[in-house]
This record gives sequence, C-alpha cells and structure tokens, in this order.
Amino acid sequence: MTPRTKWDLVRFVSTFSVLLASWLLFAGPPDAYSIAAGTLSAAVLAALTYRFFLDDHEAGARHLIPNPLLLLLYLPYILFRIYAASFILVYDMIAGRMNPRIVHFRTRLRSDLARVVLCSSVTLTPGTIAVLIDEDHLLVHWFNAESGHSGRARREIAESMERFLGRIWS
Amino acid sequence: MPWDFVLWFFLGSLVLGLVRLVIGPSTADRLVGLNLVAGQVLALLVLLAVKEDVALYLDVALAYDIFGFLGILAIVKYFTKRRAS
Amino acid sequence: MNPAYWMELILIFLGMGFALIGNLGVFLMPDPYTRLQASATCSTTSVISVILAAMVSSGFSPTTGKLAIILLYFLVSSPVATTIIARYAWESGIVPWRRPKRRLGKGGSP
Repeated sequence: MTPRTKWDLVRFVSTFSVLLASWLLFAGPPDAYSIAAGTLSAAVLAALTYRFFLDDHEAGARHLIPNPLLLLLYLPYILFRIYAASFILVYDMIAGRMNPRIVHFRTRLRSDLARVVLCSSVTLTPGTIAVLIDEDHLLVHWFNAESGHSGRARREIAESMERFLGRIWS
Repeated sequence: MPWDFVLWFFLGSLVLGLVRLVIGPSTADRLVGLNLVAGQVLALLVLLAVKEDVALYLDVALAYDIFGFLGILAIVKYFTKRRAS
Repeated sequence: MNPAYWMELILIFLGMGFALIGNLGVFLMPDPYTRLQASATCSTTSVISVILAAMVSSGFSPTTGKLAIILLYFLVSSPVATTIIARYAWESGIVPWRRPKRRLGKGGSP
C-alpha cells in the first residue's frame, strides 16, 4: 500500500463519515430503511467527490481538525461582530458617509480551511465584502474606507478574526 | 405578538428588492436582487412557521435556502462560460 | 410580561428595521458593489434576527434544533453567495463607484 492510496483512503473515509453524519442529522428518527439508503447514497457521493472535499496538498492534520471549544466560541463572537458592525453601517448609510474603496492585503493564516472561514467572516461582517481570494491574497470592497493602505486595512478589518482563527486551526 | 403586521411589513419591504431585480441595468444587479429576495423569503417562511406553529414550513425553508444558493451558483456559472467563449 | 417576550419583540423590531434599510439601500445605491453591501449586510442581519426571535419564541423543543440547523446553513451559504456575486461583477469588468473628489478651496477631507 503506497502512501498515495493510503491518503486516498483517508480522504474517502472522512468524506463518507461527514456525509453520513449530516444525513443522520437531517433524517430525523432513524429506521432501517433510512439508514440503508443513507449509507448507500453517502458511499456513492463520497466516491464521486472525495477529491474536492479534502484537497490533495492539504495533508497536515492540525490544518484540518479544529479546536472544538474555540470553534463553539467563534459563533457568538461572529454574531456580536455582525450586530456591532451592522449598526455602524446603518448609521453611515443614513448620514450619507460613504467612501467605497477596493483594498488588498495578505493574511498570515496557513491553513486553507481557516482562510475560507476568514473570507466568509469578512463578507459576513457588514461594511466589508471579500471580492477575490487567491491563496493568501484577499481583495476586499470596503464601504467606508479610512485609507487605502494595505497594512492599515488588514489591521482594521481582519486582525482580530485572524488571531482567533489562528488559534482554532493552529 | 402582532405576527400579521410583521409578515405584511416584510412583504412590503421585499417589493423594493423585486423592483431592483426587474430594472437592474446589469446582470450583477439582478443577481443582487435575487439574493436579497431569497433571503427575505427564508425569513418569511420562518415567521410563517412560528405563527401557524407548523414545523413542516421549516423543512420547506431549508430546502428553499439550499436551492436558492444552487440557483445563484448555476446562473453565475452559466454567464461566465458564455462570456468566455 | 416575561423577559423572553421582550427579547423576542426587540429582535423582531431589529429584523424589521434592518430589512427596510437593506431594501432601501439596494434600491438607492449607485453601483453593484455598494448595492451588494446593503443587501448582503442588512438582509443577513435581519434574517439572523428573525431566526433568533423564532428560536426564543419556540423555547426548548425540536423546532429550535431545526432553526439552529437553518441558521448554521444560512451562515455558511450567504457569504459564499455574496462573494460569488462580487467576483462575477469584478470579473465582468464593472468599475467600483468612487466618491467624486471635492473641489479645492471647499475644505474637508475627500
């Protein structure tokens, strides 16, 4: 068994278990028929899609498995950020203080999953939208930009979330 | 809780998004309107489920959200392909 | 009047206000990116508020679990859709709107 086939097997099994767990979550009270159908369809789907679910070069376990307690804490944190920024955005819209700009910065996160979550969090926070993400470059549309400077934009938009995510996906 | 008033308020504010969906000058504007209307219809379904106390509406809301997302994905994919060729 | 009722009322009013502002913003803003800001942010906040209010209203029951699943799915899917639309607008060559610079002598920062 070469390392390549072993890695393929690990990817297949993890895809299959995630699909089966979400099926059992959605199907409600389990009976024999639903479990059999869920296992079959999860196996077929995992065989078709395990190449996209975990990327080929993403082999570090610490990049994939999050710290569960901090991941649970991240949800109320991002909800608080959404509410706070959304009041500021509404105030800016009503007062007519808009100065939209495209800014560009690089993240320090190493894991792909953490980068995707950072991109989603930046989009979810009112006032900023991630337009493009390419490896570690982010292109962000900022509604009320104070400056176009890259380092300052990173400090204002992403630094605290980045620190949090860096602790979740070490 | 005046659920009726809340439902009618959401329906009324949704009309502005629908107007943007119809008159938007470019495709991106129409997609913005579509995204907005999809989100608001999700909120309407959740409100309806709480008002009538029918949990079945929540399954409808989840399926509607999934298919709205897939629809936006498919539309963007289609237009990107057509522009490239 | 118990506190759960008041919390529900506040969340519903927040949802209504953000929905109105978001729809007005989508109707009035000058270019696709700023419209996307208004729609994505305010409608996201209003939908989250409505779902939280429904969770508070239905108490501890299976309905709350379903609402939590819907909320999680919405938190994952909504920013992805927004980013995809923004990337489509960027790649089809739409130039973002900039506030026109004020003339010299008027004062104030641009």
